Amino acid sequence: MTRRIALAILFTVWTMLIAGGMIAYFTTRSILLEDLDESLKNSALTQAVQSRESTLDPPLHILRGDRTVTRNELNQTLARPATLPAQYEPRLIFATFSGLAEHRLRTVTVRYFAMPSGSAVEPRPFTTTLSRSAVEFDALMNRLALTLTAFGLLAGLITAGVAVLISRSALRPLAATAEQVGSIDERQLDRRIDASALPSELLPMANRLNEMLARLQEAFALRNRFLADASHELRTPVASLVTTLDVALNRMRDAEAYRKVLESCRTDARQLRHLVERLMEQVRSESLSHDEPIRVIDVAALLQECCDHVQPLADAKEVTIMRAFGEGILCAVAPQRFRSITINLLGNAIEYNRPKGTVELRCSCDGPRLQLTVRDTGIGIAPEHLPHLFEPFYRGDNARQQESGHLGLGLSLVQAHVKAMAGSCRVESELGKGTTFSVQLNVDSIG
Amino acid sequence: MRILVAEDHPNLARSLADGLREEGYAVDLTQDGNEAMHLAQTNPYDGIVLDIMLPGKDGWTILKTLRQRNITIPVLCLTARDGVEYRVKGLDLGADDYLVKPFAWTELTARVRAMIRRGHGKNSAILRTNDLEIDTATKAVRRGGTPIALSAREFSLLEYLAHRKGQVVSRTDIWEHLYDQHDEAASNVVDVYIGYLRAKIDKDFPLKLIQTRRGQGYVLGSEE
Repeated sequence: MTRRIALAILFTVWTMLIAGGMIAYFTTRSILLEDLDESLKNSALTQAVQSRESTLDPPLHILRGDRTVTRNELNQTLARPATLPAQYEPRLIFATFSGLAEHRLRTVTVRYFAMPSGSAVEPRPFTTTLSRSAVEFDALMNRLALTLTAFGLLAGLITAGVAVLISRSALRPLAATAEQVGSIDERQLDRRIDASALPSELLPMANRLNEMLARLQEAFALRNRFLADASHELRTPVASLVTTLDVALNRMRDAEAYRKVLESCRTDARQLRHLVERLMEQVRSESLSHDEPIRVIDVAALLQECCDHVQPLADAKEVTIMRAFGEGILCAVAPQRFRSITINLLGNAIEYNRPKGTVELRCSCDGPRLQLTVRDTGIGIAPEHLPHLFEPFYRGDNARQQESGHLGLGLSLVQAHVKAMAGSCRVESELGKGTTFSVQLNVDSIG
Repeated sequence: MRILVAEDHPNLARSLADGLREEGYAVDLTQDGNEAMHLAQTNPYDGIVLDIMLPGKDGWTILKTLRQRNITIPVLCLTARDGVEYRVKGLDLGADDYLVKPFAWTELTARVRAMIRRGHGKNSAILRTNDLEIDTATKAVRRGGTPIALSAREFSLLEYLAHRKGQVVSRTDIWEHLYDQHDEAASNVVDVYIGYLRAKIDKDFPLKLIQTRRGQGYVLGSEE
């Protein structure tokens, strides 16, 4: 990350410096070249004037190393420069400059009218070519290029270095946070990322991470409690099994005694099987939450089937089931889940009912909302138990009802199914009068 | 030695009671917390095996109430809850020991023996009276190095007397510690067993260890 930021900054700075440097270089070069050419031109012209006066040799403006060649209109090289008559000023016709490349010379060619010495004819055009060494100019340019390059490289590197330092210091809290996150595992889910040390840009990330940790912690706590409760439920029947076998094998017994032991063990084993099945059902209902497809079914028919299913239980407790729902309620639901919800609620309502009591099952489909209500005339649930009712293994009283196989899983199973179908459950209860469970599901109503 | 077993799982309760009876203990069994409370308050148990999750009244409440009423019968808590906080809670409430289900039978019996020993203020599994040596762990009895074979009930009687060495123990005391609430043995059954014990322990030795105190009961130990 830091390296990439540094490289990006380095290349940006360098590109800008190269562009700026080139502009500076070429601008400077053209300005200097213009100056040079101007002075060359002046020198050439001055030379023409001075040669007329021929007082100074070499003439002013001519530098050491300059080479001048004067030609007449016939392109004959004259030994001496043409001399202008007094009344003629050298009039520049044109000046051409040739490049610097060859022999490191800058050459100016000046064309002017002049009079050859000693003649009285019309002034004739002459051409003077002045070449001057450009070594100094080149050296200057080279130095400029070198300076600019060196400065650019240095500035780029410094900027990149500063960028690395800055981005590192900006990312340092991130490294600290990474360390904090790294130290969190499933045993330390109560830890949180210290957001106070983070720059404000990173706060949302830290907050989201902390929220995720809170959710994970809750999920883990639930899972651990489920495991603890499950193992707790399994311990007593296992203890019974082991103790029965231990005691039985302490000495030789007759066949009848062994038969009794085996019967006792079978009861325990069946209880264990029942427990394991309920536990598995619970786990499945939570983990495979979206596996069952939603289908349009006749909910009323399914409810009839559920009522028939629990009828023997109701008969045994002399409880009447009132099927208070119409016919042909077509709704899109997950049928297995819906069945499990109904049977668990009905089973509960029968189990905790008084003898000769009633269970009323209502169901109505109103637009996109399916409402299922199970009302019993049972013992009711004390208010302090209501908030925990849907927790796995929760039982209103502390006592276990081993024989009836009540695990306190039924309602948590209902809850899991309802959640999987994006619905909600409610419970109202009055001690001694009865309890009403309502389940609301959002469904696609058909008819 | 008489033990109260309070456990609500029917099969486990039955196995515990059967097993402990085979070990020679008189066992009262209840599956209800309130009954457990009542029995513990009205009978002189040598130890209680107490399940924590009991219907009616849970084990914690029973334990707390017993200790508040100065009933010091040693209690071994049985529980399906495995966790330091539960052990600490049990021990703080006055439990003498704590065993998590499922347990090995040998561990349970060893802990029951240890609990009863401690209840009688003994540290060693071997009780000595003169040259009589009673190993409560192996249930072996020796007198002067000679092994003596005793029936389970005889052993229990001797063990009880040995625990109360030097004290006068009444017939009722003995009866209450040897028989459970449903035993309908006649009250002279104690005298019969004392007779059996004397025949096995004292008959061949000049020094008689089992003394009769007329109208009071029996004492184990030579008369000084």
